[in-house]
Amino acid sequence: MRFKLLTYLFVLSLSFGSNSLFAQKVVLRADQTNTLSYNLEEWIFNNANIAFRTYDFGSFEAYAPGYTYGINTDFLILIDGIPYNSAWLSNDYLTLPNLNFSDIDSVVIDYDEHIAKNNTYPAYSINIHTKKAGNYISVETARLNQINDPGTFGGTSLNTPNVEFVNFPTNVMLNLNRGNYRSLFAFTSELYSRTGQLGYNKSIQSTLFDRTEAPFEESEFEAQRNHQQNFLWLQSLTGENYDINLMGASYISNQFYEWHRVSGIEAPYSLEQYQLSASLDVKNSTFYEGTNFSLSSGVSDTLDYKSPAVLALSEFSLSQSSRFTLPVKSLPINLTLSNKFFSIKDKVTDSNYDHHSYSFTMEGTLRSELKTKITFGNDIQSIIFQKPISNTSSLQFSTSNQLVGKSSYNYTLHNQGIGFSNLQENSNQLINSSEFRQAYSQLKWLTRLQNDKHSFTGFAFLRHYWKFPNELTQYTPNTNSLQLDTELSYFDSSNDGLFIIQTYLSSHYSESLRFKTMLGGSFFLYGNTTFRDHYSSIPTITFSESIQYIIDENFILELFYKYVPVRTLNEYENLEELTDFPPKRVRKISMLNFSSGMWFFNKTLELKFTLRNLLNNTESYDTNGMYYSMSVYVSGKINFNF
Amino acid sequence: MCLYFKTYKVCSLLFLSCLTTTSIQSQTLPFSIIEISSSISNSTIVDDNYSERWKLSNKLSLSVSTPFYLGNLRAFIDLIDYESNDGQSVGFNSVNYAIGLSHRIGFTRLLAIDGGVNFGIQKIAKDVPNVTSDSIERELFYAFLLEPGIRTRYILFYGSFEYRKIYNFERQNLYFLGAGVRVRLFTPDKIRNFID
Repeated sequence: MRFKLLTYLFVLSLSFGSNSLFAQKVVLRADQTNTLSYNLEEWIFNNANIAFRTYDFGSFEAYAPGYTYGINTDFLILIDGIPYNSAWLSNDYLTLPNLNFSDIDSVVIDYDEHIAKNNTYPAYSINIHTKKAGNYISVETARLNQINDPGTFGGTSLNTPNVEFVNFPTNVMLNLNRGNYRSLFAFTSELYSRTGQLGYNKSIQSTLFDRTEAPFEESEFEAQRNHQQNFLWLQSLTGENYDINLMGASYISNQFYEWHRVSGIEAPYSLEQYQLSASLDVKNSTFYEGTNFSLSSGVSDTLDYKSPAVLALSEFSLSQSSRFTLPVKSLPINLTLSNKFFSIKDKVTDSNYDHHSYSFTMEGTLRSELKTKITFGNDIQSIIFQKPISNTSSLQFSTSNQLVGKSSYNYTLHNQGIGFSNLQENSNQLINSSEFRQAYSQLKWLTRLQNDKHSFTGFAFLRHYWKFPNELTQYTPNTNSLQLDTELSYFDSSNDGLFIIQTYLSSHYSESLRFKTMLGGSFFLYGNTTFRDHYSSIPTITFSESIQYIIDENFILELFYKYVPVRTLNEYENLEELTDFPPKRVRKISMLNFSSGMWFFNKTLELKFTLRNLLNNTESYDTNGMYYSMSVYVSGKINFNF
Repeated sequence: MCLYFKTYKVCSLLFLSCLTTTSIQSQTLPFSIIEISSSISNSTIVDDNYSERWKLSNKLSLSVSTPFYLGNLRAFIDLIDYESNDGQSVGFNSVNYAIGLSHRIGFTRLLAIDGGVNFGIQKIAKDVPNVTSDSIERELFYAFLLEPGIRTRYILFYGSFEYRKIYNFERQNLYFLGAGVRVRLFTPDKIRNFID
């Protein structure tokens, strides 16, 4: 049957209760979506309607529903169930190995605190499940190119700035199964532009304001490109009484430009990170369920030694968690114990910052289906109750108190003399009256409705912050210095309120036509003006619609539309007034993509062709980042099964 | 706003044509026929800023097409030279790659017309390479094709009309008018099953 794959009709599903107590999931099936994205991160965010902020599509600040800042900023990443450390060192944004989504079985986005691999996580999580079965090797190369090149006018009076290619991804994946032993090796590489048509004049030290359009004489011009390479390996042994998993990953970028949010300097540096995770799962156990153990180490060093800004840091982290089940009155209660230690060091000043956090979690179902989870630790204390109120919906109440720790990145590290260390004595001011504690209570309603043509899932919640640590950043350009005069103030506010809604509707009217409509909203309700101003950088609504036309299992067409309204980045207010750049108003995004996927030679050859941003409206997620116009994405991939 | 509608038009046209033509074409199995076409066309640049500086050589085009669910899937390679028109501008060679979907309407057993949409990349290189900078540039284009022809079982002679828009910063609009010949090969089942 040709349309065998169409038996999975619902791309999105929401499940209550099955394995995890508070499971509320969005499942993306890789074989059911075709829209090519810039990379895996964007593919996940677009298909789950998660808004984000990025300079260059290299690293992301993802706005999970209810996002504020300082806490839950990063999604927890799990690859085949094993924790993957995606936020480390000065890079507190999310980066992932750019696995090809056709090598992925599914991505499960879990919007609730949950338990995986013997640990309990306070954050939302993204679970990437690779295709486990069979032996296969796949090789993909792609190119994403923008329009608006000068073409034949280069060198004439009608010359216009050259437009860099956007991304040049390559990846290779090898999967081997021998009996109950499985190995996976993946190598991914992305070479991406940070500038579009802006770049640096080589003779000037690099600061944010030295960017110029590509001049006609290109010898003095350097286009900024970041290059990141990821290597991932995974070994799994499935036994009768236990499973053992081992995962190693490395991230290497030999040239990485990042704008430092305190100094305003953007210099190239090198970044490396290595991590190793081991997990043991005990099956059919009555008490001990397993342990997870992870190590991670990262190093950065400035490449341009003439630069006044040196970023030479190293980080080491170690985490452990173990899980137990206690049979109490025939109702199982789960216990989780976890520890995390990290140390970050500035190699120039020799200052370092160490932190150890531990927590203890207990969860179980009390009388009348009241699910309960209690977490107690040195950084976090929280409690959650959830109860079904009908066949299709549940109500959840939670309250949490958390010390922000490392997530208040600027303050914690800057205050310890870490990061661009030789710059900071001059012009950066820190005003701190905050205790960096975030406390909130929220009431959440979750629902799922389904008939044979439609599937609807959604949730909405009200969150009230009893206490919130605000960060207020004020930049002032300084003509005598390369760096910005930055004033960072931290202060607490009380009684801030948010309302969040997220809905997913998938419909199919025939075997070959599928629709997916996603609408989310994040609304500030009441509270402090700084909190409100910061929240205006988060899109109030995000909407996307995808129409998929499945002509055959070897030929799929898709239209994808995304809308993100205007956002305001108030931190740029001073800069815009004084230098006109960068503007604080980020234009709305109204983007339409057309994509096609074709498979030949019994699916061995996979060709994808996407016209991204057909309406050619400028697409930008940060006014200090890239501005994208219409682009074409061509990808070729060979899948070889043996 | 104008551009908005134009691109919207392209895209909705493409999608609509996909939706409406399934039933007509679905009788022909994918890859059951392979057609190889070659054509030569006279090229015209619409835009003054281009035509002041360059005139185009004839376009030489080679394409391969095969039935593919919604119509005929076609892959093209075209060669066009930009020759200096004002004696000052540098000449360029262009190689154009495109893929597209086309649809054939038969009026009689003898007469047929092919219409289609192509998307592709124009790759240009200067006649005299400049060592100090990257002399190769790639740019997106789309094209509409109309090819009325006289057909027999194995061979088809056709006239070719094409409108092409290249998305350089200064948009470039081109027309091509020409003629070509198309050879039709019937794929043995073994090969067809292998490709599918």
